[in-house]
Amino acid sequence: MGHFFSYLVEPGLLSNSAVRTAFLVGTVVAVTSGVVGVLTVIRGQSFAGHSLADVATTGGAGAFLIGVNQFWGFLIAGVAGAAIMELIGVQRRRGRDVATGVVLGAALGAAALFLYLGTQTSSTTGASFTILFGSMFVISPDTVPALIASGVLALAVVAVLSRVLLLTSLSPELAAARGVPVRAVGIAYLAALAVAVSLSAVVIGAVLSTALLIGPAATALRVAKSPGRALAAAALIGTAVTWLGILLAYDSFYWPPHGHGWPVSFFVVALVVVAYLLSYAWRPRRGRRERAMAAAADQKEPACSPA
Amino acid sequence: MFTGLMLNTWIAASIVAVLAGVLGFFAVLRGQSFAAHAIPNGAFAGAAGAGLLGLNVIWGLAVFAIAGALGIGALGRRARQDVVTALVLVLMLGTGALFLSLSTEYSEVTYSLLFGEVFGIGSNVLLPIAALGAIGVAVTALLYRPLLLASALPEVADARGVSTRRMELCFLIVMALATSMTVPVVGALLMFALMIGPAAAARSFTRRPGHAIALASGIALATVWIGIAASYHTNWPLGFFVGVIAAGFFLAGQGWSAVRRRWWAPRQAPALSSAVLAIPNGPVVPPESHHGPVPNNDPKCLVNQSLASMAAAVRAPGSSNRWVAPGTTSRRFSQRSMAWAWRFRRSTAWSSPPTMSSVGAVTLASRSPARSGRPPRETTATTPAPGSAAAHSAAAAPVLAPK
Repeated sequence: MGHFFSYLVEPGLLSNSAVRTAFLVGTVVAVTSGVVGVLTVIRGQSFAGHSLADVATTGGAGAFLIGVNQFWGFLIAGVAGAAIMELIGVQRRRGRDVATGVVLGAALGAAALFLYLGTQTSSTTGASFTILFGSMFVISPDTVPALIASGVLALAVVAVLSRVLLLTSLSPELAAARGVPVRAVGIAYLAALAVAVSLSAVVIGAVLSTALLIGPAATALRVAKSPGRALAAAALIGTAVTWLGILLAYDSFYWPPHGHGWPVSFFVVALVVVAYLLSYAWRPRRGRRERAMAAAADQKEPACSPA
Repeated sequence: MFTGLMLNTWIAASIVAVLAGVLGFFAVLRGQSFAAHAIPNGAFAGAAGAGLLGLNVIWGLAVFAIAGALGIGALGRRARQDVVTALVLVLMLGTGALFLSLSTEYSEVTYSLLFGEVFGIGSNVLLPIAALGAIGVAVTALLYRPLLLASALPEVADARGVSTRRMELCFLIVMALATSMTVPVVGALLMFALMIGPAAAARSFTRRPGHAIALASGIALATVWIGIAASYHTNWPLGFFVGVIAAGFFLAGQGWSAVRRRWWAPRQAPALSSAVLAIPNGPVVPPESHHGPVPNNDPKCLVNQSLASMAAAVRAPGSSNRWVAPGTTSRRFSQRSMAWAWRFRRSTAWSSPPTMSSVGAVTLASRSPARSGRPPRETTATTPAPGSAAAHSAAAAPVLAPK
């Protein structure tokens, strides 16, 4: 048994400081992304979530160009992108996809420029790879407090607004009728989304942070029976997936080709997708209330738009 | 600027731009911007895999793009499409990250595949690009009407026997084919900008689908041409110019439609819905009509209107019946087209006057009459002469009477 355990968990796993940092930050990111992701999936804003991650790439590339820590670039660009999307009209369902897409296109163009200029000036190769696909094992210890603080901040925003957010997500008209400032809540939510996305962009890369945002949340919404449990389940699934991914990536040094680890991002993404596909096999007994909730979550076009 | 390899660049980029305009129009109309982003982006993983195995990049791109399109189409049937698209995209990208980390020469390849390498196009690549581009445009032209109908009014399409699922799959596969040829040229990330920006801009300049497609292609061409010229002179990446110019055109379109809304509101061209619905030449059989059968001797406009209102009506219990089919018929518009129909009633066959019942609102006869002395704005029916008691108490009754 001991032999089996040491086969599964490489000896010296937890004594490695890089791995310890990866576990710590990975957990924070997984919980934040899971919680914010549930709301993202309910609101049908997966595209916005993914776009913010890509917009954050621009910030990462810009930070790389001027030589600042990447996390700040990710964060600032993410929040700015969220603000611009909101300004152009993300709040209208019909124009939302297109507005998001246009912001995304422009931001990607800027990212291309920054990366190009960056590689021109500093001649560091592999920058675009690190920015886009990230690596959990090279997080510098200086940024860890900032990472954790912003994760907690995003969680706090969501916790304070949770009831209002759920209401505006499921039925904007009802929320407006009850006097909830729908637009302000939407902006606060987008800001939290931007923070969560920048966090996971640092950890598993801008392009792949969508996986942690959408995957566990979509799985949890298929499995859980109430919004509260869905939030918890998403955080749990995200954490489990991240830990397992780190473990496998650490082990993969001994897989072919030898002496070359497989990327953490790949394992995390693969596990997320496997978890989502497994959720199709989950057939819980459902009461009436839960079925209504699932119907609300599965609806193609939630609620109705103000004409 | 127009010699040797640069000539190849101009030709390839022009083909890509035209195709992007055509496909982008449908992507915007169908609300599938995310799929338009996911398929090229995920196909990039295929290129990385082909590089690892030492194959031609085009094959890797084609395999992954088509696999992604099929995955989105198949899984999208059982869950919300944006979630499925996101998951398919990240799965492909994760695989791409693996391929890149396993291969040795990753950095340059990553950059040029993501952001495009438009200035190194050889003559041997030009032929496949032209062939795939021609196939893409031809398939779109072949499927033009059913695809348009399925995109604008899915429910009506289903009722008329056009399979929306099959149309969606066809569209995604055409997009995948287009992607596999365009990614090496403009890059995975910028193909998307070229599809969405010009098409969205074109839609705010014109409402006719044919014009919109032509305009989208034109704007995409202009974007690419300006981009190449600027890129040639500054030596900055083409992707930057494409992204920024496309966004600029989009903003111009938004400004234009704001101006038009403000000053020229009454003079609006016929919207997409009437263009689509005017397709059938025979008598139109309405789908499971709950407003009663539509008489066939009505003018076409009235038949179409009631069809459209049926398509736009939500039947879920408790819903507010205010949902409007995306990009098609709004209530404002249906009033206006009713007014047109009324104006031309002499030259068309006999028709009943447009009433509330044909715009989808139904009130039970047992309800008490409206309180206001003024008849509702929607009506064009004659009201009783002033002075009679009915004008003050029951003005709404003739409007709501069944045909």
